[in-house]
Amino acid sequence: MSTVSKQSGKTEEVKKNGKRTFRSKAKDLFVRVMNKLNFDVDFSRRKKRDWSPGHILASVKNASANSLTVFNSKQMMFDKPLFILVIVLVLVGTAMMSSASYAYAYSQYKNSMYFIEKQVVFVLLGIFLMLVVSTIPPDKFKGVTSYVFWFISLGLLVLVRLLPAKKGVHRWIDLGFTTFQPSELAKFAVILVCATYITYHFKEMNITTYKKRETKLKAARSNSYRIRYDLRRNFQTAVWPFIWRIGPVLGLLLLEPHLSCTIIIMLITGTLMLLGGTRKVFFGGLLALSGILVSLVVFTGFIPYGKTRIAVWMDPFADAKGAGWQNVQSLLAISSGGLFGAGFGNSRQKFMYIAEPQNDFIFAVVCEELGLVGAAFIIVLFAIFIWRGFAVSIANPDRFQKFVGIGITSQIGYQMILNIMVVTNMVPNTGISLPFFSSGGTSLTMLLAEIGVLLAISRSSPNKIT
Amino acid sequence: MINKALSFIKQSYQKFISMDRFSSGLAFISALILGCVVAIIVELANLMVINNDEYQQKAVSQQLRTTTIPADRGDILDAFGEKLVQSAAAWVVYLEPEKLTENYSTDEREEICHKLAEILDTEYNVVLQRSYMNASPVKITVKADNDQKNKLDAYIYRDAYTRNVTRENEKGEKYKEEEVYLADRIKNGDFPAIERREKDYYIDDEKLKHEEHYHYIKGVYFQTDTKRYYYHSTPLAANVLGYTNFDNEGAQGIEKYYDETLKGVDGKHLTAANSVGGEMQYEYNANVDPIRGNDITLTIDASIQATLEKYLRKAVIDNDVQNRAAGIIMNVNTGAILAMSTMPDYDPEDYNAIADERVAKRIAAIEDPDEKKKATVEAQQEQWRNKAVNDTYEPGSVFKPITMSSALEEGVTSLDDTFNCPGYHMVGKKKIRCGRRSGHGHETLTQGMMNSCNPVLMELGERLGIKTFSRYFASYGLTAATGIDLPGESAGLFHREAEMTQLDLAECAYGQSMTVTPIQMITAFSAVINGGYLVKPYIVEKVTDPNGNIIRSTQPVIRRQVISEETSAKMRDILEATANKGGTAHNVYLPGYRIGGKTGTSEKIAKQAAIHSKEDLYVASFCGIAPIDNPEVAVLIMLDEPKGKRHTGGSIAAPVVREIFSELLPHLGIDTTYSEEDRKYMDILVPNVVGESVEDATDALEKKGFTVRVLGDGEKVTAQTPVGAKSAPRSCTVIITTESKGEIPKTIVPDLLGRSPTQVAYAVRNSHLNIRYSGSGFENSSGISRTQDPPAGSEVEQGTVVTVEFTVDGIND
Repeated sequence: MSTVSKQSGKTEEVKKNGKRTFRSKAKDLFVRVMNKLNFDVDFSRRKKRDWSPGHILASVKNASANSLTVFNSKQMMFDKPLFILVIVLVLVGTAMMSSASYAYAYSQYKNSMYFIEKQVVFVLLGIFLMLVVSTIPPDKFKGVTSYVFWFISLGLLVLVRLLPAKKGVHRWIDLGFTTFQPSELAKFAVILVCATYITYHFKEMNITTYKKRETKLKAARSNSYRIRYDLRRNFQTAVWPFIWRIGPVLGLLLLEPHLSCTIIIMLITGTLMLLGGTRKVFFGGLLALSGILVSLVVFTGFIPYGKTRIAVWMDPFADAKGAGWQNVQSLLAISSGGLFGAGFGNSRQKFMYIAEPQNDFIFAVVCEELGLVGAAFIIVLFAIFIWRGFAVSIANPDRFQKFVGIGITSQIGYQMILNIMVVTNMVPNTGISLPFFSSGGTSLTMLLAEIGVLLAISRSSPNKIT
Repeated sequence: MINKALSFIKQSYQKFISMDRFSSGLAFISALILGCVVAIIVELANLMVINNDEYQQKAVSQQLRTTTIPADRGDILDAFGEKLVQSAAAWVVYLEPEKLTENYSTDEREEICHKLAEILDTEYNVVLQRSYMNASPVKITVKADNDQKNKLDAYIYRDAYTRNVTRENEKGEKYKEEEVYLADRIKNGDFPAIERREKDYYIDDEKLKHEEHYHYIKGVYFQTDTKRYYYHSTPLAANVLGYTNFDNEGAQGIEKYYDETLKGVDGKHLTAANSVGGEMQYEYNANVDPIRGNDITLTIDASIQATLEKYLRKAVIDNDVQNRAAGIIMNVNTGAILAMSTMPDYDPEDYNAIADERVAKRIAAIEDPDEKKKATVEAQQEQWRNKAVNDTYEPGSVFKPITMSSALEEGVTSLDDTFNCPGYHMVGKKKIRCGRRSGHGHETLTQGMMNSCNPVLMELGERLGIKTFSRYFASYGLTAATGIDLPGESAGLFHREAEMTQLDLAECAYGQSMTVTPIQMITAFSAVINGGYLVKPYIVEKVTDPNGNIIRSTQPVIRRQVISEETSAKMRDILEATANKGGTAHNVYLPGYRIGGKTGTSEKIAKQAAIHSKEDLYVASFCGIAPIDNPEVAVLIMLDEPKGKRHTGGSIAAPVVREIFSELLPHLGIDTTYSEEDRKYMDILVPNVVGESVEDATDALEKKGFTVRVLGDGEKVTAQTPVGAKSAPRSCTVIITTESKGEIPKTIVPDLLGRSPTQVAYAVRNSHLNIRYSGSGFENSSGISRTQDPPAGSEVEQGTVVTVEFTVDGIND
């Protein structure tokens, strides 16, 4: 019955105008998206809602029962090791953040617990969100949904550029009770968009007309043509689509400016392209292109202190009291750690030496307090997490889920690696946070939600890994 | 192995290129991530464990601020627990020239320096000059006391202190905040007094500037320190105690030798500083309490020390001693030093100042600044020396008992032995003269010592021979330092046995051509008379910790017996005879006490030759022992280069020893026994006869043995001299007046100095005065008057007692 009435409603509208209006198209799109996301949206069925308490109670009961079955059934369970790893990382991260932040919080806000309170709230919220997201079938993000995320991200990135700057950059949207970084959402959107594209165009991306064995023999000529054809085709299907999908995001991010996020998104996109079938020859060009882009941005003064940061990276001690302060203090903190560290809570460098020790340079405090042993342990935890993330992703036969999983995992991996390399002065300072450790409510919540997607991928996979 | 690895790599590569793009891409990405992780861990290991020293030190140096809390130095006490030196809190004031230049104009700087000089009681010019010194920080006073510190506090922190800090609120809006700290809080240490630097630092990308304002005098601050306080207004035992320098380190004397014992352990106030210079909150404060140093109790008796110094100082002035004088008082049986002094001494609280006025004048006259500086340094080094321990001299005749006791012990001579002194002694072909050129003629061994006859001693030396003499010399501890617990002890020079000639032996026998330190001399001398036991001298009785527990107490050490008890007894007799009538040491004679001693005068031939001195340079010395029948103390006085009328030990050093004995022996509670002759000159109490009838008065006085002379013809006595209820010599003529005569007539005291006893007695009698004999040599005509009291020319009543001190003159020893 409902289908009929739905169709009839549609036809009515078409009839009225003779063709589909924009309004009907938008409505149609919204219904499709909402249905994908398991929301029961039906414009045609204009029945009266039952707001009686009994009905609401029944629907809540129904919903919770549904979710409980999701968590109880063995076949439907997500990957437990991954979950435990994440929880361990979050706990260790929060503890270290607490230790690292309290002196700075006291000096800035006269309240040692300032960051700790916030972080605990967001950790709880994030874990809850992670569990909720893990019940959503990852397929729901495929296709048009990913573009919705993409559009929203672009919109927010434009919005944030229009909003007044904070600390000299347009990076945060103030929500009153907290701030929100659209770039966090953008990362996820980029993963979704790339994964969707790859899922739908995997064959085209991986098509090869060129035959290896014929090269030397008769068909050399046609083979050379085929090589060029393959490359052109690969560019059209496996490079260009990514450029126009990701390009605007990168551009907007550079306008903020937010170089570290730009680099992370480039790396994620690159990874997904590589796995999706983009020919390796293009990566040289892409690398050169991004290199030119980044150095332009850095050396033309588009990014504040860009040149200084390069100089500091070359020799942090040249201006130890000025520009090199952050890096120098970070190095001193790391070195102070020794093999076993000063003990949890005993960092000295966090007392106003490391600027904002709860953020980008938190790993220096970790090193100082836990020593090489603790720091290596945390890095190994991350490594295991990355391996597990890759493993559950590959195990899933669904191509979209596979790519989304790899995207999310590699995002965390790259962020971790870049952050620690900045802290140890192996690469110039870009201002990148350490996943699970750095303070920052929305980024942590977003991160945990993404892990929720990863868990959902492990859940929906028929191939469970042990 | 290598082949296997190569083949594995080959296989992996084959596998890699045969993969589909997804798999190969994933492998590549995984390898990339793994590579990065390994690189990171390697870099971390490098930073944290392998090459972490440099950075770690940098971190520590920026984080920790250490303030030293100086430990109180231990006290130095005398044998009866009287404090000689004590430590108390003091403050060191520092200037930071750079800060002054940065913050103040020339006028302001001058004003600050002027104020500082005023408060700290120092020279304005010095403070100003220091304020321009190219160093930071500069000490401007060594030790300011609490009072000065409080004044300085009030001046420096007269205003409150504020700072403007740009902060950011939760929403990221910048705002300025002014923090105000009251001056009181700064003083109480809530904020460090040292000004903190202004610092720009970054919060994320934004550069925020912290402005700080200090409304107090910048570039001046102080730190706690301790200061030595000396308990006697005139420095007591300065050369023994030594002093502590700028850094509270013992630099001389006991302070130096027992520096480790006295200094204690400095405390530390460790604070971890954050980058803005404030102290880190929470548990980053650590206090290490200072541990007070241990107290040292000396064997020195402050009152004996004072006596020694009093008379030694007088002797130095009287005899115009050029090269300082030394004195030691020692317990002969234990080796405990009861007093030790070098004169002129210096003020340990102001140890750099040249205490000897004569030297100070000489230095002030030098114009060339370099020369002046050099001379000052030399004079300082000289005045800090403890002559009794650090310097050597030729002992001269004081050494003779050593030779004689060795000869007695070896049996090469005896008390019955007789000698003939023709005025010289032939050593090989060389003629060595005796002190008395005409010679002493026939004399016994004892007379040889009494006359201090060189030929007798040379004869004894010859009889002993080089080998035996050297053995005794070493046995008396004269070849090595005594081991007294004072820094820089020297040992004298003696001939090497193999190279020693008969001439050397002859000279050594009467104490020339070799050197010893005064402490070596007195130790050896003690061994001669105490039964032959060579003791180890010591000056520290015990060391006590701050709670009063004895950590260490010194036990007397007898190092060896050099001569037998019998020989020692013989030597005691000889030395007593020497100090009695007819002996060269007779000037040490003190009625009621049995004293022994030996004089000594040595010629500083080597120095005379070295400086081409036209006049002869001498060292006059004396070593006295009391009581000689049961020796307890030895006193050695050594006057280096006296320039007075007389220069022999018997005439200038022996009286000093007598004066010291006159106070020392009663202080030690040594019994007196007076001979008949002593009694003749002893004081007795004069009865008060004023108001009595003349007859009664005369009876009473004559009963006591006084001669009475009555003036006037009244019946009642109205006045008397010497006055009643006071003591006067038995031989006095008491003058009493009656009411008809009135007052006793006055008379002028004649000049009595430099006369023989007979002349003095005549002059005194002519002036209707009474005489009290003191010193020695007044019984026969050998004495000569040396001092008189009241002085010549003063107007006194007739019958007043004039004390005249005689010394035996013309002693050649």
